[in-house]
Amino acid sequence: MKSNPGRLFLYIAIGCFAGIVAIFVVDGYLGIYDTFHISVGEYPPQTITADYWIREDYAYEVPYPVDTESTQDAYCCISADWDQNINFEYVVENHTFSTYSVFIEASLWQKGEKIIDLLSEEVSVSPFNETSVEWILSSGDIGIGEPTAEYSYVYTVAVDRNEVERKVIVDFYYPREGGFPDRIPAEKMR
Amino acid sequence: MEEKLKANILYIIGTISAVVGLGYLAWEYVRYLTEPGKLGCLVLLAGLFGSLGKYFEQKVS
Repeated sequence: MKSNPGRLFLYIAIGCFAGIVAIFVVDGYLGIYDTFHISVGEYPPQTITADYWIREDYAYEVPYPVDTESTQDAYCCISADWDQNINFEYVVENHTFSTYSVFIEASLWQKGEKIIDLLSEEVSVSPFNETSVEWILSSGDIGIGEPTAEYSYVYTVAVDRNEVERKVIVDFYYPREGGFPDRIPAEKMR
Repeated sequence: MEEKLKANILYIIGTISAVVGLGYLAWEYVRYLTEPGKLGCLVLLAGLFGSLGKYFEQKVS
């Protein structure tokens, strides 16, 4: 059986196209990825995947940015009542062929000043594996003992991983003057 | 003749739209590729067009 020699170039062209598609798939998979799972109270956790941070329009203007500019690249927002905890889980996925070791630091900021350190931990992730670190943020840790006129207190949680920095805006709501209204008895609701 | 002209215009519009659409999608994907990935794609793209050109050259002659 004699094959048409002209077809050879067609097959090469098809092979090149398949190679380009393969590069897109493999290149998209390889790398270091991070994901946040943030939960407050009984609500299902909010998940911030690595894709979120490569969007160009995710920058959110917050009133008290960490940087001197008026906007910062941050996820907005995680809200909690004054008596609730905010549970953070930060997952680092290593989709490379070597072990990934990194120092992760999480801290709380307000008006450009660091309030407290939340986490300081070195993690090591084996190839094609993942690991996670967790921490809890509560209003008690921040030390707002006597909330004054402000209704909500806005902070930025900054997570540093080598040269990668992620910022998440959190706010704690406090009752206005006079506190929450009294619970209405069930019989009066009818 | 007029029908053929109309068909040709529609072909041109369709071709331009397809090229622009594919170009936009390719740009959206390429932005997030790593540098070695971009280089690999460039080499394979050159091979793709070179092979296609050679294929059509042999087909016509």
